[in-house]
Amino acid sequence: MTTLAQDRVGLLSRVAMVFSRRGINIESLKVAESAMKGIAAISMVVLTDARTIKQIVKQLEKQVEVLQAFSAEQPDISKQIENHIQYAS
Amino acid sequence: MSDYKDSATKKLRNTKNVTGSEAILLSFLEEGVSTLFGYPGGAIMPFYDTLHQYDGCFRHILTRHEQGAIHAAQGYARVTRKTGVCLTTSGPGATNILTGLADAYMDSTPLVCITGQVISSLVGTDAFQETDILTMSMAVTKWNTQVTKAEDIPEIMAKAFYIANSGRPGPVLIDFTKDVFSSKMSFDYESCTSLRTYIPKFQALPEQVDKAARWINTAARPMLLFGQGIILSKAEEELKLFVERSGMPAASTLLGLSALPVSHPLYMGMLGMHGNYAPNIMTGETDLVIAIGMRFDDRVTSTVSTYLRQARIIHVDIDPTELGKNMDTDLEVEADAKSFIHSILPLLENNDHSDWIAGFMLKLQEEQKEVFQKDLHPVDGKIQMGEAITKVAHSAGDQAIVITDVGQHQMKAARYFPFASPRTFVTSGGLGTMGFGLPAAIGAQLGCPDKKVVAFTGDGGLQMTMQELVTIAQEELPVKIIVLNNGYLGMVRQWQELFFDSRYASTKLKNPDFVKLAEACGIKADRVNEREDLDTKVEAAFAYPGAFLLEVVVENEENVFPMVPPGAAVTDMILK
Repeated sequence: MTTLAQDRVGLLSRVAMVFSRRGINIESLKVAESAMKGIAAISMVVLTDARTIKQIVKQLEKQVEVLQAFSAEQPDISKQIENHIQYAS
Repeated sequence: MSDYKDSATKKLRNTKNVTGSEAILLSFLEEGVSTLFGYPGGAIMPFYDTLHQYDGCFRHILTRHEQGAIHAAQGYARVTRKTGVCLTTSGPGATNILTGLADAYMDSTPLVCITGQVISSLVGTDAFQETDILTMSMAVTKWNTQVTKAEDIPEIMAKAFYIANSGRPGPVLIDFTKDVFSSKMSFDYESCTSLRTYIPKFQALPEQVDKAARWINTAARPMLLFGQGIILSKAEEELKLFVERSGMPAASTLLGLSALPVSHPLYMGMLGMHGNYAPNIMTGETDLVIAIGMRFDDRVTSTVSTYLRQARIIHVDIDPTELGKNMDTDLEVEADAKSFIHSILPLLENNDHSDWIAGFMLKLQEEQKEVFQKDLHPVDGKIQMGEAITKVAHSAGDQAIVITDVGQHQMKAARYFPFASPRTFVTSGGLGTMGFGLPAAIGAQLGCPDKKVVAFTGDGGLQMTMQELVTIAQEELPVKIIVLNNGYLGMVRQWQELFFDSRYASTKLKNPDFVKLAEACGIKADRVNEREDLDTKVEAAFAYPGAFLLEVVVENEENVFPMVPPGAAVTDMILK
């Protein structure tokens, strides 16, 4: 999921808080300047269900600094990978 | 207010070269703030020094603990619908307001809290009385920020007041490093009315309003559940029109109380664990619920998977994160309560649901027989909380502002006070903060100096913030404090009795002599033990012109019923 937000001290803490409060671990994280001046783009990968993601997007957008948050779902492919690894070995 | 502003303007001929402290005070004046609640200390001393020079421009209330200051600011905000302002120093001063911030965040109370911080060059060095209040308060503020440059003050103050009291209101914290207070700057203030990244949505989509109206007009057994959103959006009149036009029975959450007069024929009572029997039980029979400005808190829904299973649900709230958070509903409407009701009113058909309402009346009769009778008209034993509350209501009048602490007395006051006009009930709902009542009453009395303010508290809760009795005496506030003393942490004891086989673990209290305590603080006080003295002693307390603490010694092991037992469905509410 990606969050576009006003770049300022403490922004990452506020964004991370939305996840940690729900006991969700951030698997990967990237923070970069977006095409809009003063707006940072924070991209994160998290493992959770669709209902929680919907809530998290809203909670992120509730943060005053956040301009927009959106998510893209990826089906859980861990099982397939596991099978593939087993098959390969 | 204008007097305050005039005298401040006289003192400040030149706003082009002012200190940071003066800029904060000028920002307060721009925002119409003249009452401040706070407690000085090292990091905020330069600000207090400036405040002293502006004597007569502001009324500063020195509480006896920072927690008292923030709860007082909450009480002020809740009765006035203005933003409450609280000032504390760094470190312990700042951490002492965390409970109040969490309370205000849960109960949507607009606050601007100013904290002092160590000087900029020492930030992050564990300097004396330094604490990272920004990180600490992040989870319990709508917004927070630190100011390290005086020239940023006007913009940040304007933004803080806008964020605190727009959309779903909430607390904002601004942390000022000490050097900012004495730095010079040029003051030029512009109110904030919009922000690029924060745009509260007011209007519902027309198609949602149409759909909601269609559902309401065709429902056989509709029911309205309303919360504090009505009060926060000042939609009390619209609410009345809504229920009268649609003819639907209405029930309130704890924080929605006083939005609709208790005497209104379509008002069915309070929802929730200790609410009224009829509105809780009938949630099992309704075919359409419209919930406005409430958040389906677990104290209202109990086990959520059992709540409103058979009904269609429309949920209207200004905070989109509340939609679908606790309950999956059939129509989610992101809108301000007032604006929503305003737009749906012309689409509502005049309806009569008297057959459906008759069912509520039957349940009400059951509650009257099983609960009211025992609570309000006992014939023997010690005084019951309910009879003391109704007696106080009789002397105070239904226009009085009622403040409560948290626990059994809170539920009884919520159940039995005959609220007649808006914003006359202030309580800690979401967080359930014991110790909230007494300081909140200070703020409420300052916010509404011409109204009677009654603070109901228990013996446990009073002892959490009882030092504020001295503040009440110092400020000469005519607050009436009714201590319902049962010698226990009553609500916890009730649960121990019902669900822990009466093992009263750490709930029995050895109390101070509350009358002597109040008198030592400079407050007139009395105690009532016997039922036959209740009337005269309550009347005497209200006849006295100043503050008065009346300790009512009540039944030790009284329980609050009806009750939805934990884990049960709301429709399994028990009467005894």
